[in-house]
Amino acid sequence: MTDQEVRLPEEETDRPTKGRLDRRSFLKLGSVSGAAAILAACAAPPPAPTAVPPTSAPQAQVPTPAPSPVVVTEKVEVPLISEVLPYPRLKIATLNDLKNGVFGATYPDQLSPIQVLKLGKKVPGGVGPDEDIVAYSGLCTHMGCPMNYDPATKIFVCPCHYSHFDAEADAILISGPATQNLPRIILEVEGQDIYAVGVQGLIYGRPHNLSLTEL
Amino acid sequence: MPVYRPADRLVLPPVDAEKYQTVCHYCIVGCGYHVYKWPEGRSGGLLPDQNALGVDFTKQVAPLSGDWIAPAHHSIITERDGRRYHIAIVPDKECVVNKGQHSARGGSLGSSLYRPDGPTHVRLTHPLVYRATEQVPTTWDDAIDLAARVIYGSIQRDGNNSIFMKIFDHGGGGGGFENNWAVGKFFFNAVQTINCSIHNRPAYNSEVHASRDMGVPELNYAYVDAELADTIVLWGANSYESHTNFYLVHMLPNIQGTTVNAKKDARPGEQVGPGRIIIIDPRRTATVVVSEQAAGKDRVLHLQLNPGTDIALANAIARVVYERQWHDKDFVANRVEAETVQPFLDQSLQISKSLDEVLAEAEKITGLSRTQIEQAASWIAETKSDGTRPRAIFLYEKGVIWGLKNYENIGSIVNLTLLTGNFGKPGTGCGRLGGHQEGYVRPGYPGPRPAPYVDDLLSQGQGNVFYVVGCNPAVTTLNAQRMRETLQTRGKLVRDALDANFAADNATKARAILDAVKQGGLFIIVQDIYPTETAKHAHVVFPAAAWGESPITSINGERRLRLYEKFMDPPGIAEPDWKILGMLAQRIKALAQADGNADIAQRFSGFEWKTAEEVFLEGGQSFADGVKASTERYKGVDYAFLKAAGNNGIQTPVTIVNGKPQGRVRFFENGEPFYTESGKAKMLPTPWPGFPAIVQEQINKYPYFLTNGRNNNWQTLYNDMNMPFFAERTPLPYIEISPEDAKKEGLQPGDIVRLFNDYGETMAYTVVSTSVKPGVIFMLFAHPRATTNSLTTPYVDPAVIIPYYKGSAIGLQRIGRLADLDARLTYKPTNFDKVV
Repeated sequence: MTDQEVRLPEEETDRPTKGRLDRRSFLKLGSVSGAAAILAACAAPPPAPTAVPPTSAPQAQVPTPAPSPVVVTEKVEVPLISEVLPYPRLKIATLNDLKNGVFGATYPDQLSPIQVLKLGKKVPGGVGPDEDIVAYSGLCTHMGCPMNYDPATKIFVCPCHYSHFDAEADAILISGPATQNLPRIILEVEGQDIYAVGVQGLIYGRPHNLSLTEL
Repeated sequence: MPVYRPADRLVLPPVDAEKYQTVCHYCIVGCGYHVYKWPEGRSGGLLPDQNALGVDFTKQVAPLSGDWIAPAHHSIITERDGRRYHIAIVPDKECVVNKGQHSARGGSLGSSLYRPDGPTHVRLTHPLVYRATEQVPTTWDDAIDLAARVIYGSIQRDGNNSIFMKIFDHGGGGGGFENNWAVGKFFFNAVQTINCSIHNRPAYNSEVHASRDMGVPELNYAYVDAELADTIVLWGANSYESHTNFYLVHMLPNIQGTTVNAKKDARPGEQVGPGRIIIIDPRRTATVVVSEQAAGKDRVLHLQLNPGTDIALANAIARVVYERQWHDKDFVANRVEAETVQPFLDQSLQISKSLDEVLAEAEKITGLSRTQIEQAASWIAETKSDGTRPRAIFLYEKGVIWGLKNYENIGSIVNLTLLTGNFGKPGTGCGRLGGHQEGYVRPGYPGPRPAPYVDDLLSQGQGNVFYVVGCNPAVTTLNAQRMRETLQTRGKLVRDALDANFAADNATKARAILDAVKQGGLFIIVQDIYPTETAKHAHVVFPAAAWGESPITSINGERRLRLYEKFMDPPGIAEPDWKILGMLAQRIKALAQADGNADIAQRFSGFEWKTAEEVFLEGGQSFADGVKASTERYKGVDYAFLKAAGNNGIQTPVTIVNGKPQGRVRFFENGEPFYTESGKAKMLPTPWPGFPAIVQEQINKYPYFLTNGRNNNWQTLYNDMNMPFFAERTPLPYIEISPEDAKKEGLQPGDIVRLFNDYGETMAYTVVSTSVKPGVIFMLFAHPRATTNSLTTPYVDPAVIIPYYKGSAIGLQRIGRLADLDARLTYKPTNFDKVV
């Protein structure tokens, strides 16, 4: 990855402005799951304790204390649970990179391999001049093995337990033990440049897709 | 049209989430899971001491670690009192069956749960009674009362056998020891009818009578034996898809060579190496293709025989083994009844003919080459260079069981196993793989063998009451079109009687119903979790509790008995099957007592169970002690024991040693006797019978042999149509047709076709695949919108009344295309093979 300046998603006129959160405030409030979690890596976390065995009847729960209010200069609104994650807009390839039909990249962070594909036929949501450029997570949604892509058949094959996904059909599972179609990377094309701007579905191994993104 | 994708985030279980142990409710493999449950609005955090899994989610979870929660594992449920909870159902890493892995089925257990705000809201929640042209919700008392009056009146006037039933007998979801005991006690002890049939066949019988008659209970191996064998023989089974984790966790490592050290430990002093696999299947399935890719073609022998010709193949392989003197002479001499050997040699091996003659005949029947048959015999039985015998494990399933002649199909495979001495040692065995899990405990069935062919009798107008529990014969019985017509036509006479008496009380209605059945009507009771195609014909519908909504116990294919804990309420006022039958029995008893009918009152006594464990323990008492233990024997074990034993449970049959329950890894070790009077196994004469006339008639008339089965991501009606990930990928069933036949018929992938023969008609979309040879078509079965079983013949093996589902013939006609299928499906074949 070249060191591109990370830009936040632009405000779009048809998107609701209510509930949008600026980057700093988002980080300080923690993950969208609501717990006061620490996103930035620091010292090694303590070793995992053994799981607490269940009590025979559920005890009344003491509510988790709400995070301390953050003092910021801009106005902050609490994100709605249905709001999108603040996916970064990152250039991941150029049209020229796809002359062989496939190009490996990473998005939204370097531990998330993706395959950018030029399918040779127009598909729904395909970008570029021929509306045939798509991209998917390269990690199998079964148990996270990096997959092989066969440009001849346009099929992702996982070498671990052989889940197969059809890149020409929105990466639907053809067959296999996976329970999720491959996450799809949302793309935009600007001139010769291909940008990744979001993800549909959940990438393997994450509590949410931006858990490893340095924002 | 984008495919279904879940949200891009999880809610993690907090450290104090409730945690339950359970086993997946789907297939025989029975993988272990943990269920985490925590209130909506709460969440665990990313650090290991902040979530119940103890995983560090601030880092990328490693592949193959089993540390992630896939979205499909998760749901939000609503309990009866309105409180909402997150549920995450996660594979158990400590369970020796699946070792933290999940299949497509187990990995989506979360998505299968009832929730009133999701697609599974269609679950049956209340009893329904047919009233004034509709099925209308009512109370338990009301529905039970009507059904009880009709059953009681029918027994009194027309005898016990006027009550027909078709009910599950398996374990796992929709079954289990508790529910099986209640069903058996109700129908065999109380009603005492012989007109019973099982969820997937039209009579009351075993799917494997031959094996049992030969002295071999059909679950005699452990999963570890597939890791230790030299040769795995998969017969009529597509285990990558249908027994996924048995294949991936236990078979694949063997043929990939990673179990060699374990073999050295278990089989000291023997020459061991990576295993090999023989796959006997008329289709080139995903199991074949994956095995070749994973282990190399030199370790995989696919015998792509003509459909239905298994007996001829088994006989031919056995003849080669015998001819080459590769058989286990000591074993045959000491552990097989001597007088059964000669008929086997004469009729199965055709000893009076030369080997060349026999193999030429086998080639003609099976479509295989002599070389292939001889190679199979060599892999199974040829003495190794160190002078030791190879060990082979024979695993068969529905291709054999629903095959041309169930009895000799199975007999011929057991023969081969006996001939080669492959019992009673690690790495050996001969058993069925299984479909569902098992969980059979019942009083004895009071009927004859062969049992009555219930579907036939119903279509002829016999029976007053048809009580259907946990199955869907309108879709899945053989010759299903005839069943639907029967339910429709005969059910209508009862509906008309009810319409004519819509203002009356139950007593009057019951009398009207009994009049109607005398004129040919049929009173239909359905007990299920969903409103099935069969349920829509019912006059009374009882809503049943599903997996996770009441505790059950079951065993898997290696007889591993576990407790499947309850972790949520059933929907509405649904109840477990054992409780419903208990209510019904108590009501019949009360009616009989009011009548002064002491005999019937006595028969319907003893159904006052309050808990699932009571039923479990009562059933357990029915097992006899002694050496030849029933496969399922669990007497001496209770829920507390099973809770402590976790997801590894105990392998049945259980024996109590010094007061402690002890399990059994495999059968027939150390000279343990076979299950015959003599203690020696019997061989069975298995001459090749040819095709049954009624099937041959269709084959002569129609151009394509039709077989059917399931696939990795289709588990039948059960839950799939109400789970978006599955439902959207299979809106209709498909056929697999060879590239040559597709070209001949002018078919493209995705074309909609009409399929027909003398027995019925249905439709499907087209997948062009190398899985089938020219002349053969495969169809995905049990689809509620279009069922392959409309095209099966009514043929059953007359010795055992087991259908030949896998054998029919059809014509086809292209109809056109459906644009929405083109937009959202893939037509690339599920056997992963390139179509040239």
